[in-house]
Amino acid sequence: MKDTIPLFKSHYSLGKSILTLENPEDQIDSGPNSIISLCKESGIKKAFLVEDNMSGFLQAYTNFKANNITPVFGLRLNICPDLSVKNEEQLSKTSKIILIAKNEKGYRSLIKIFTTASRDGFYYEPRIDSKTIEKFYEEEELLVVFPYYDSYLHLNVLEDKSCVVNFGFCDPVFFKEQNDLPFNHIIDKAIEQASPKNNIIKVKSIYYKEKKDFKSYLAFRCITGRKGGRSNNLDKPNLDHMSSNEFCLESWRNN
Amino acid sequence: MEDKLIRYQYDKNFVFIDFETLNLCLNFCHNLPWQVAMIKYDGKNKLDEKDFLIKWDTKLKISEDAARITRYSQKSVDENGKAPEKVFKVVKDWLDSCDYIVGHNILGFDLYLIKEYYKLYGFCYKHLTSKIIDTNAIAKGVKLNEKFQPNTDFLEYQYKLNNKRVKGVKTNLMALGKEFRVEHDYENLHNALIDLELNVKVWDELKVMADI
Repeated sequence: MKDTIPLFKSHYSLGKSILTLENPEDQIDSGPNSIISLCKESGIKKAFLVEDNMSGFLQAYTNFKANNITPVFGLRLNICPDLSVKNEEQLSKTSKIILIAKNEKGYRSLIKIFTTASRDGFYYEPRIDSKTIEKFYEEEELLVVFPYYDSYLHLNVLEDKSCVVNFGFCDPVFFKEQNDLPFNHIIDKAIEQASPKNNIIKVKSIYYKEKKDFKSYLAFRCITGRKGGRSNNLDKPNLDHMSSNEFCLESWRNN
Repeated sequence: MEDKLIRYQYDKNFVFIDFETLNLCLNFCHNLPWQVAMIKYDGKNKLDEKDFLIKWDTKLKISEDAARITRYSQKSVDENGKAPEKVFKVVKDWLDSCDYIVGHNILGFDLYLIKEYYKLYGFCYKHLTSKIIDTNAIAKGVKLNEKFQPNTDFLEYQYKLNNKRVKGVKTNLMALGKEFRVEHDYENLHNALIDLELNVKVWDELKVMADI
């Protein structure tokens, strides 16, 4: 287990996680689980929090610090070829990237990058491009990571997209996960081919505490995924490949 | 995949499989299969078939949509349903020993039920993935003229097509059967075995068109 890094995501990443960032003392017994509680229970002293926006980082910082846990903040963003171009073709070439702040300067860069993505690159969602990241990138401050799911590799090999990324200015890392999905080995193969330097880190994305919480998580995803008149529910989730209950702390512990 | 085209592999065993379920959830936490049908086929002839109703000890209820579409009968399941572990033994035996597992949209649905079924009894399903042939994906490949390149991964090719949604391209079993002028009992589709029989006929047409 210990060579796999747990990657937490909170409810601040809208519709993606049922974990909160509350101080354990404020947590209601029958309420949602707090990432800080989970870290304390599991003896995690350095917690990686990867969110889709920056809204939760202040609460996270306050509560992690109050519980003697060092937070590491990451931002999962859409990366497109050119953020100034806003059309359907760009959407088909858009994938995900994670930027991790190595220190306070890196965190300040994250703020600038997210501001640019939200203000200049917004097209349905905030988007960034590699040219903009390069402008803010310093090796000591930021780590560029390709996530396991929805990276250009995943989308190109499994969804037949043609995403192109250009990170010649840095040495990106690839995250690798194991969540008992039947297509994982296809992504694994693509990662191995794309990472000649073997810059691969094993991680586990955590969106709920235990496997039994999957049903609650699924219900949450159904509710938050409703759009365009679709009445998603547990009987008809309309969520492709949403089968694995492995995105949890229990699975990380037992890994 | 073997070097020889699949359509010429008459010495291989194909198992066609289809589940009817309580709803469309892909995890046993909220869904269970109440019927499973399988047909064993050698590329030319039907060798054997199985059609099980499964009786679970569960509080889960079938959704209204699923009951209507599949003509679910609680009475039939109560009277004729077999114990899940007994059905699983047969399913596992057939799937583990065959050369190819064929289903329509098996990558998007049935494979997850197989995974859950295997997991329920403590088994891993991963050795099955390389045997999968999804006729829905193959049909999309034919319609979009995206042929399989023999030096590439067959499962990857199928996933790409399965995840593709193109307006106006119909690849459901009934549409394919009618398009290929396959004679069949179309009135009783969504009964697992009847679906499978159509799936076999559609596969016979597709394998030539897809050049696999």
